[in-house]
Amino acid sequence: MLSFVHPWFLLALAGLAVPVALHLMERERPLERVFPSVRFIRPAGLPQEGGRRRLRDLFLLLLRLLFMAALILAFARPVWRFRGAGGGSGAGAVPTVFLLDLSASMNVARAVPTARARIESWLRTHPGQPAGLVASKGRSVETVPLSADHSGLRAALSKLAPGLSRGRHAAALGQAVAMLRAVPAGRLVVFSDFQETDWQDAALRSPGPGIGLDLVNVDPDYTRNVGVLRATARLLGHRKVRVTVSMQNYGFQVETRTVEVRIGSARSSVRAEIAPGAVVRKTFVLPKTDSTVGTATLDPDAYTPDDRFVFWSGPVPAVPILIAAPFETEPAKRAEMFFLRKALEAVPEGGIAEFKVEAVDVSQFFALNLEAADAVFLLGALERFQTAELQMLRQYLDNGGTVFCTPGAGTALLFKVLQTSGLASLEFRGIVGQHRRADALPFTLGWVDPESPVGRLFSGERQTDLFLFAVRRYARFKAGPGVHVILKTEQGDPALVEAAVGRGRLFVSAFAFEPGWSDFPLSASFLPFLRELLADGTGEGRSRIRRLECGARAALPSTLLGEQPPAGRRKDARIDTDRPGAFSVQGIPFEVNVSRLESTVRRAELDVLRARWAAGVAPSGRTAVSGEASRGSASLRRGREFRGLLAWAAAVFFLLEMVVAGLPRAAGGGGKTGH
Amino acid sequence: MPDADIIELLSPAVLARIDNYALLARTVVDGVLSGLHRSLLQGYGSEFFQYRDYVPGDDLKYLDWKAFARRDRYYIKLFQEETNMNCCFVLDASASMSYRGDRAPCTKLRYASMLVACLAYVSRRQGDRVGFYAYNEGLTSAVRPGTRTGHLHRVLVEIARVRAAGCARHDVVLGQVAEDLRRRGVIVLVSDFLGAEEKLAQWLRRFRFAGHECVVVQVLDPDELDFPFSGSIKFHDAEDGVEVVTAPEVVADSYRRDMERFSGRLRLAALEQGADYLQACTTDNLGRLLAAYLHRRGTRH
Repeated sequence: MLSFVHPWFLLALAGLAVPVALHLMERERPLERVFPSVRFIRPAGLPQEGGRRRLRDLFLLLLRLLFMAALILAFARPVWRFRGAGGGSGAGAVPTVFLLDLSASMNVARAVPTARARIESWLRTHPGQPAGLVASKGRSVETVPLSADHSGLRAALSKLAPGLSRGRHAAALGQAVAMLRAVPAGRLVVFSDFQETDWQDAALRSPGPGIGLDLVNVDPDYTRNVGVLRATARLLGHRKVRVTVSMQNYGFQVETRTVEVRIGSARSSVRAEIAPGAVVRKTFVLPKTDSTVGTATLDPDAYTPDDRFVFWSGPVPAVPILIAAPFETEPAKRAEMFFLRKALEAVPEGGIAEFKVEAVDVSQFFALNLEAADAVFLLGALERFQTAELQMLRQYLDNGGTVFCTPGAGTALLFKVLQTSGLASLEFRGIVGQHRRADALPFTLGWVDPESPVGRLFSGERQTDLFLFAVRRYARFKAGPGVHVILKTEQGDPALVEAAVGRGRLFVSAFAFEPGWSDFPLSASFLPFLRELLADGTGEGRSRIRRLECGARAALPSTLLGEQPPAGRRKDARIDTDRPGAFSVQGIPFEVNVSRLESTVRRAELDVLRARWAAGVAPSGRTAVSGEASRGSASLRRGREFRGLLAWAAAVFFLLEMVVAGLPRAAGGGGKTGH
Repeated sequence: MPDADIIELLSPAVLARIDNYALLARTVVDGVLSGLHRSLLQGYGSEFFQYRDYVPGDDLKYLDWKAFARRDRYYIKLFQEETNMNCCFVLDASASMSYRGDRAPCTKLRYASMLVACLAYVSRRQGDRVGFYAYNEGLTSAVRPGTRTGHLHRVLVEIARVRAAGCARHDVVLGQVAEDLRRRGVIVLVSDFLGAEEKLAQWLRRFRFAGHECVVVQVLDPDELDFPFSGSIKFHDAEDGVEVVTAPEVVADSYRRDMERFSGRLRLAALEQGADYLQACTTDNLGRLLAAYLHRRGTRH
């Protein structure tokens, strides 16, 4: 079967008419002449010279046509597949599988009806031809097996409607290809809007030999869309709620839209102009109501699922904080834990607890579920970690966790562990003030990085408090590359440093937060300092509200100690992600909304997609090496591509044309002089 | 003998620029031809007209010996026809006469008109009755022979009015002319005679039986003689519209043979009927042509 990788290049074959037309226009026509003695003139053909010239011209025309045709075909990349007809032989009997994209973006008004109409039209014109259907709805796939009886397919087709899930088509593609592998040759027709986010980087396994591939964009003209990107609510005292709504214009022209925020009976709206590709934020202050669910709604456009965002407007649970310390061997760490808990669990006036502190002994650390904590305080604990705990910590940091380390009894060992485990490049130089006299003047902090969150917090009058508390002793170390110094003592030694580890951050303090090391926990700066660092490190509310996409799998988070919800409560605790909504499950608020990746109007390049698909390219650009794909690639190699041959042929035709065009010039000149 | 430069002035390229046929004929005849010939018509009873210088070849019986004795120079006595004969010119004005090749300075009709004008002037100067007929599918001009004052002017005006068009129906028109001319005289037929070779002898015989003396002047373009074309050409016949697509290089030889055969048949038909045959090419010097013909005619008579 002959197929083309870039069949649209074949349209250029129409250009072959140009040299033919030029040849016809410029061919030698007989001159017309009025003559008196025509009766003595006998009709005759062209002389031999003219005949030769005509032959030469025809040969030149042929060479030029062959050159152009070879060049065009080389660009179209014809491929001859030896096995299977792939629609080439007896196209009327080729089994066809329709893959219908039913992701959220197909909710655009014309998309699914267009696809359905085209499939039904095909069924009408191909009665008795085996046809199957694969509907891709996010992770779920509905299939109608290949059958010459189209009634089942028609019935399934009439019931299909676009979902609200993000497009994940790998499973559906696998199903479709599997259906076609059972037949020697087949055709796969994909109906989709080919959103860039769904298809551009999708893992596309080669459909294999003998399978023709058609990509049909059902809504190529869809270029305008504005959606609510996110909405967050935050309580302002007892009576008000502040809602921040972010809207994004995904289209290519300026849009003016009205956004309305509603929480219970309270509502407010505003009109906003959004430039193409821009994100605009609008803030609303609404009276607090009993409702815990709010909506931010735009006036509807062609794609409505992203015009509404459901958000949680109720109270949010406290951020879980874990404190691990050798409480049994270092009683002083209990005091440090006491100060930390006191500072973190303090409830602001009219507010709710923002942090929830769990303290465990370092010996139990290996059994903890670190993912349940937004931040971990290791109070003289890190130097006691074994390899397993260090791996846990490393993984936690890689996943975006925040860890605070304070020195304990084995300060030198702490820095050695940090150094050897690769967590932070800190070179320990000793403990300053360990052997000073009791009446000696304490150390103080002398510098704060003004660009750090802490620096911004303590700019102004409160700065004096931060630099007034006494530091009795501190670990002196030198910060290596990749370590950012936030605080320094007045001696210029680092007092608090930050190192990025994976997606997480590791803070190392030169002194512990207990009176044996410093008066910092007794100072007024301690509480804002700690909260600011945590707010910056944990991302405000990052883990307090679980944001899910429609169709995504979701499970209740386990507790810090790795406990799952009791079996009896699991049914009640089912998290419904089928449709947008906001709810609380076991005290954890969830927001479910349609994936905003479905909002883009950008389309994947179909020719690139087709080529990648034919070659079986993985998202990273590597050729798929899975078993099936490998078999497909091997089969593809059994197909023969003529691009190189055609390129050579074009070159040969071009050279021949040059030679033939040059040769008769001399011959023609001789003929004329002879004449 | 006239100067060669003056003869060159009688080339068709120069004469074709002269619109006035009277002036043209006077220029040719008075300026150059006088002295070159004796007369177009020399019948019995001619009387002295004038002297002219002797030209080698002149009949010595016309040499005035008395004048030679007195002046020691040779003079030839010229005599004028006294019989007041008819001299009638029949000009073919069919479409084929409008042809003008790339090398020719004028059309065949223009050349024939100049030739007729010159001969008419000569005839009238000898006192002959000059008539003129032009025809294509029928007679388009007809000036019967006459001698009245201004008759020559009328003939020359008619010559100037002639336009080439249509097919030449020689047999019909020549029959009319023969009917029209009761008095014997000289009839000068000027045409390309294309398609007339079959019946020319018949017409000439008829004129001869009526007592006329005929002069057949065939006017051709040089292209018709040597067929110099090349490439692929579609020829349209000027009169009947027949089209022939041909390669001239291929058929040139056969064309020339056919054209020679055609001219030969015309010449033979004329000679058989005792008529003069003169083939004129539109690039021929008109002065030379007329001088040579008149000289030949003079010696023959």
